[in-house]
Amino acid sequence: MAHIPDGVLSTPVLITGAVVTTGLLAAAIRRLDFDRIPQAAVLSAAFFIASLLSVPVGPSSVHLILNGLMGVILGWAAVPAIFVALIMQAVFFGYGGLLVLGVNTMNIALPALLCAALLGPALRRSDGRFSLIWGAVSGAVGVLLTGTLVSLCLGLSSADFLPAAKVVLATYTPLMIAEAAVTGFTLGFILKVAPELITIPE
Amino acid sequence: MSRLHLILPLLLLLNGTAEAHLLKLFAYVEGASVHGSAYFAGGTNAAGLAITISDRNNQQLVSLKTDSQGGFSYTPATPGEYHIRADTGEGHRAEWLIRADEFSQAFPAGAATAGGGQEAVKPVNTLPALPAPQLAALIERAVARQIGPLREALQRSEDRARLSDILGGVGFIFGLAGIALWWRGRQRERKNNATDPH
Repeated sequence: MAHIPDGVLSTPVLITGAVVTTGLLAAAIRRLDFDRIPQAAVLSAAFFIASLLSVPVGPSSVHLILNGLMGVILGWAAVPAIFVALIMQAVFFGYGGLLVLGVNTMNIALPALLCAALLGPALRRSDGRFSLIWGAVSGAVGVLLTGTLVSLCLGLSSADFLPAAKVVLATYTPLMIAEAAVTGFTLGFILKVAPELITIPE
Repeated sequence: MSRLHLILPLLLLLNGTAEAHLLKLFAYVEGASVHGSAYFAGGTNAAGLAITISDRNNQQLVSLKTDSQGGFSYTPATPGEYHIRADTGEGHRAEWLIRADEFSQAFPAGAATAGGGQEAVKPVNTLPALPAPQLAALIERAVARQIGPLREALQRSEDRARLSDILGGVGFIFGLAGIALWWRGRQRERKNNATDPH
């Protein structure tokens, strides 16, 4: 799951997360394109609510993360969007926590940025079935990278978590499929109906 | 076809039941044993989950697994403070504290003396067959059995993410976006004023 609660991670991991997130936020705000703000707000709200629709997997439960989608559509603006939505989730729902906010933002925003950088250009050039496929790939990559980062954070915090990391990756597999489908169809739809939403180059 | 693209993601989203993503633990004392359950806030029970129970010195006493309903029970040797922890093994964690005074004062089989200045209940004429401490224990257990599930239901409903929470969060997000846009508008205005003083 993408929301690591307070009290699970060790202090060095928490500090690293906070530093990385601060850096990402600073970079994102410097590059902030004000024309993206309404889209960022809408996606931030979607991300905020998506966490409520979760499905049990084994002893755990997973929900859509949407970070691939956010990254591809928003580019750098995804970082503040994710950050704000995570604060709201911690405050209103008690998911994650304020101390681990840095780590959680890093785990979700870094994959979003990678999706934007690696898959964004290909997606914008594609059309028809290919945009569907590239969209699905970015959804799956976003989840896969987040799962890897979450496992890494847990694994680095204590050796007990190494088996835990395997559980994370196992529960993320069904999520990857769902996320790929949602992201693929959403991006396919946007490219067809309102391509200007994603064609603004970074 | 484009309409299908619009509907499919929505269907996929609605496929999961609306439930939250927060692991919760609840436990209560009934007589001498601890009953509890683990669940995800607002939704499913956490079945097959590892539960550990440790005493006040953080010494782990026992490690259990929840049943298909997410429930577990444990009978400690003595009344006392117990920490119950649940861990899905990948970052979901929950804790619950059982305090010593939650245990029935008439803890059975020799352990009862811990109570100390326990008031001597004068036997009322109704049930002379049972000695007073035993009767008190029976009553406490019966009440605990009745109230435990109620307390759990109350706890669960408190844990649920409410519509007001959701709307509040969404409102905040749009409010922040509004502030950013207002800020940009002001910056632009200033720039215009600076370049064109009239």
